[in-house]
Amino acid sequence: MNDNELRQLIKSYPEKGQRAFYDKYFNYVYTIVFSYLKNCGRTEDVDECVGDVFAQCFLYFDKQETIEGDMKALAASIARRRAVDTYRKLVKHSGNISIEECDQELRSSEDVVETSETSELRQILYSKVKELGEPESTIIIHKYYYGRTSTEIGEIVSMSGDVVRVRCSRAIKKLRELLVKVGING
Amino acid sequence: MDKEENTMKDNFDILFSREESDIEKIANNYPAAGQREKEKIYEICKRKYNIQKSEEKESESDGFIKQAEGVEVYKRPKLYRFLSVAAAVAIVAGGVGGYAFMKNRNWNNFGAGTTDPVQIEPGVPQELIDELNAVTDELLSKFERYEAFHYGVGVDTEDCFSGSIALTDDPSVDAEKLQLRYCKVTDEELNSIDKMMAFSKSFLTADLRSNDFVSVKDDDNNKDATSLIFSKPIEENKMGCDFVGYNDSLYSRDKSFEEHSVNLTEFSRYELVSSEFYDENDAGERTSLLGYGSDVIKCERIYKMSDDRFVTIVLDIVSEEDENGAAWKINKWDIIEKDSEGEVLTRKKSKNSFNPENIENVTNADADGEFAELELHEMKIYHSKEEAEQAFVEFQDAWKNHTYEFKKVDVEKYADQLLSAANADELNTLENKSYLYHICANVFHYYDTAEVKFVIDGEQQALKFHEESERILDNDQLYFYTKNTSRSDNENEKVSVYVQDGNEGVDYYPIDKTYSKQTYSEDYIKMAGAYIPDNYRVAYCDDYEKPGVQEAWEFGNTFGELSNLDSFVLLSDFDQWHIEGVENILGRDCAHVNLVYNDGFNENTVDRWIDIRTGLVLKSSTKSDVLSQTTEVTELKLNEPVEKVNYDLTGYTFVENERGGF
Repeated sequence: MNDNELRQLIKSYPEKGQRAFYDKYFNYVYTIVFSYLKNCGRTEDVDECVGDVFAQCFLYFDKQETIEGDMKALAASIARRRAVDTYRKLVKHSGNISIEECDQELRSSEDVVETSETSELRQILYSKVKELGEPESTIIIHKYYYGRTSTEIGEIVSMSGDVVRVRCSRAIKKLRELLVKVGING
Repeated sequence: MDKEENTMKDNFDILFSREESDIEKIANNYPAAGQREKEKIYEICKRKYNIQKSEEKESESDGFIKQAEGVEVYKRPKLYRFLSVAAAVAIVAGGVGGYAFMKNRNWNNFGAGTTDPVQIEPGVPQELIDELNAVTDELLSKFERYEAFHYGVGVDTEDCFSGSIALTDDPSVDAEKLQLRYCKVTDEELNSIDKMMAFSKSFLTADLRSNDFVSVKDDDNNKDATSLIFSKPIEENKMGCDFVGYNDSLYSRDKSFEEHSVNLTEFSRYELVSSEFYDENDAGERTSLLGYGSDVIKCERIYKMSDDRFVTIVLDIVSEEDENGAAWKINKWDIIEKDSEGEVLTRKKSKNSFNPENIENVTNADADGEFAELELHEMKIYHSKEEAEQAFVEFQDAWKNHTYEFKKVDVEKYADQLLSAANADELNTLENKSYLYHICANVFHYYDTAEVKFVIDGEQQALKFHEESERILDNDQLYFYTKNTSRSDNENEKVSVYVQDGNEGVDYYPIDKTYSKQTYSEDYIKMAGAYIPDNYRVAYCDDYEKPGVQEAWEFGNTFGELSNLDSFVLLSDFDQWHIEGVENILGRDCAHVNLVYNDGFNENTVDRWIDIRTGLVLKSSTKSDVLSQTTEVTELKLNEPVEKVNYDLTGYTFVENERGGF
């Protein structure tokens, strides 16, 4: 479904349209929110924040006579703003770091220009993980990026936790070999 | 986490980036969460959206009045009324089955909150159904042939070897042993381990067949290599192998020799009654074959045997690649044998879906006349969040799979103890309180049928409400009928009826002439009467972000309870309740229990009168600063045959997924 069809659906059948919007942008919004809250929030905080983002999108749609603009950009903008708010709130409540430090952390990834080496390394890592094929690459991403347990990953890839553990361990070995081949020691 | 894993984790830290292009890479290629979590977040989103929307509406319409009166005063009665209604919906929606709920965690539950039916969508092309039926016919035909080797077909029962295998490797236990016998395969097409392995590979996935085979050979030092088969305990041996390549011959395990083992895979001899294909979402609910998008095709076939017994087989069919390309194979199976009355006689599951035993004989809990030992209560508190999560997963599996067998305790013994107690100390022994907790948590098992009328009267912040209910429960037939008539100061009379018969539910509203329907999955229905040890039904943890001891999970069996006031969960903290005495209500001996608890808003004082032989709550009173409510059973018939209520929906309008009104 393209954005035009989505816009029409939201206006003609709001409930169906909202669900379609959610299905289309869930991964995207979740990933944005997670990238902000990974170090300070629990899974529940991420879930709540993602829920907030979509609720805000839906309310925005309700208020528009006609929905215009890039849907993805809208989702990204609300997701980033909400995630920053949630991050600040969580940090403030934890009391571990000051607001100044928190703002510094939030700025760091946007403002600091990465070295080309880091960026290149990241792209290699992405491509090698992808080379593992499925379900190994999904297992690796969920284990090391999203930090999920084998049982949780099992629910995502329709396998038992034990099978995930075995596949994950094999995938790590394979990934290490792939990285060594391109001169990266894992 | 070991060093290797830490290094890998450090390497992966580099993946974390808020760059748009990197976010897109991850989001486009990988699911961000499982379907269950995704649905849960959608619920969160809808809840937030609805609240914000109604707040916006309220502020537009009566913002001035709200400000003048104060939000708290205005909102509270509404909130409590909503909770009360929500609890009633939970009971009715739960209807049959059970739930597991882990607090403080996002993944949870396979019952409460997930009972909305997912209709099998029409529109699946007949060609696809035909093709799937042809695939299934072939798979089951091979499966039948494969299993027949274990029941005397294609084998020489005279040429055999046998031995016993320990059921545990724990040296401190005098291990129980299982006798196994293997017979020589004579079928020339499949009489070697290579041939049989190739055959199994043609219809079983690697996961399923991986432990079926072992090969041994005699040599000069070891004349009887078959003893190797029996040298390892069952755990390591994965229930003993099904086929043994012994020297140049193949031997098949003779399951007809084993206790409780029956062959339920003679499909060619049965009459096919139905064949259905579907998909399943993460909550275990059936969805359209074309709708959900998982890689597993579920098939349920019901066969009728010549003596009116029925065999139901549920298959997970997946596509697996091997050197011959991709092929449809069986990844999991579950066979249930029922008698003509629907009583489950035997159940067998594939090895990858049930551990440690793949043969489960379902028996009436107290058919052998023995009673279970009462479990003395211990409040289970975990000191590590991870440990609690891991334990929850284990108990959730046990709950779903009926790993623990329920057996009644000696009701009369504990009833006598309660009736003869001379004082408060004798009443409030750990044993007596543990008994009351047990019978409340397992109420489903302590009566068969109930016909009941009860009345609820209450007042919340000066708003009075009154509700009358008629209910019929049949725990054997999984039949549930309830008719509720409610009135309150700010609402007109509402009448709602909900009827659940097996896996079909219908709720209808005689005043506005609307109705909706629900279908429950077989897995959900199967959980009616689920059981795990009493001390693990509710658990706590003191390692959450919020300080103090928090509830970690609860396993509830909603079917069987008379009303939402029956919940045993509040009784799990023995420090907050005591037995006042034993009183007679409607001819039943009831323990009067008094408990005081804080629900996070207010302190509540609750009195309950619990039937000491069934666990049903026949009277209840709750009082707090904002709520006063009494529930009282006015008529009760127990364990008498019940008649199903007929209803006619002519003139009613179907409303999809609407469950309001309760």
